[in-house]
Amino acid sequence: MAYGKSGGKGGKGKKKGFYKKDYLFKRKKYCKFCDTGVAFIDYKDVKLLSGYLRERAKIVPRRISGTCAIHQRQLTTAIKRARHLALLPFTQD
Amino acid sequence: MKHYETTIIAPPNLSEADLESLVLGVEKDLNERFDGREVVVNRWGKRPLAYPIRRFNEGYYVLYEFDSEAETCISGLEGRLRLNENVMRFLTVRRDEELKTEAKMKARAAKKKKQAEEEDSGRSSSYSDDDDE
Repeated sequence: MAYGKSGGKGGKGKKKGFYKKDYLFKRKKYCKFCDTGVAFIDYKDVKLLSGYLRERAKIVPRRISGTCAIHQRQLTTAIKRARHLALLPFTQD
Repeated sequence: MKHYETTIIAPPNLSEADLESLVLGVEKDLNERFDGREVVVNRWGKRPLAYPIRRFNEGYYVLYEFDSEAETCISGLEGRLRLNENVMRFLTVRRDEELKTEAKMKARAAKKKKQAEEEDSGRSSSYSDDDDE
């Protein structure tokens, strides 16, 4: 069940190295905000938001973090607001 | 009645008197000019900036929460903040709609949780049935 999803795209051309198909076990992604029942994501919560930034301070995409559409939208505006107030960086080197 | 949150960042090198006059001045503006009600001033104090603004690496943050009904409230307030040399950055967010969606989302989460619990209890009972047989 857990890796049922990975079989679907198998025929889409062969890629070398690790591909979805090669994983024996894939943990199912879930929206952490839905799980803990977060109703609204606050732009002042720097600790939380910085967890959704990559090394270069880009926003982690939904396909990686598993966040649901509603929360990803909230997250994006929250991060952008925090950036305006210099609570979070626009870029980092 | 609309609920707003305004954050301003002041430069870190202001004298205490200047800082005080700035913070109280904005509060006074809110109260007297812009029909602000239930103004709450929340001083975060000095904190590092994620990137330099006006070549400063830290700033003094102040958060105002207030209600207002005046139509020109935000445009007026932001116009004044823009002219104020001692305000490096500001952000105003309208919160009443967000609070509404927050309530909605909370209700939805509670409902989901309840459903999940019911399902769980249903499942466990069916398991116990199997065990009995």
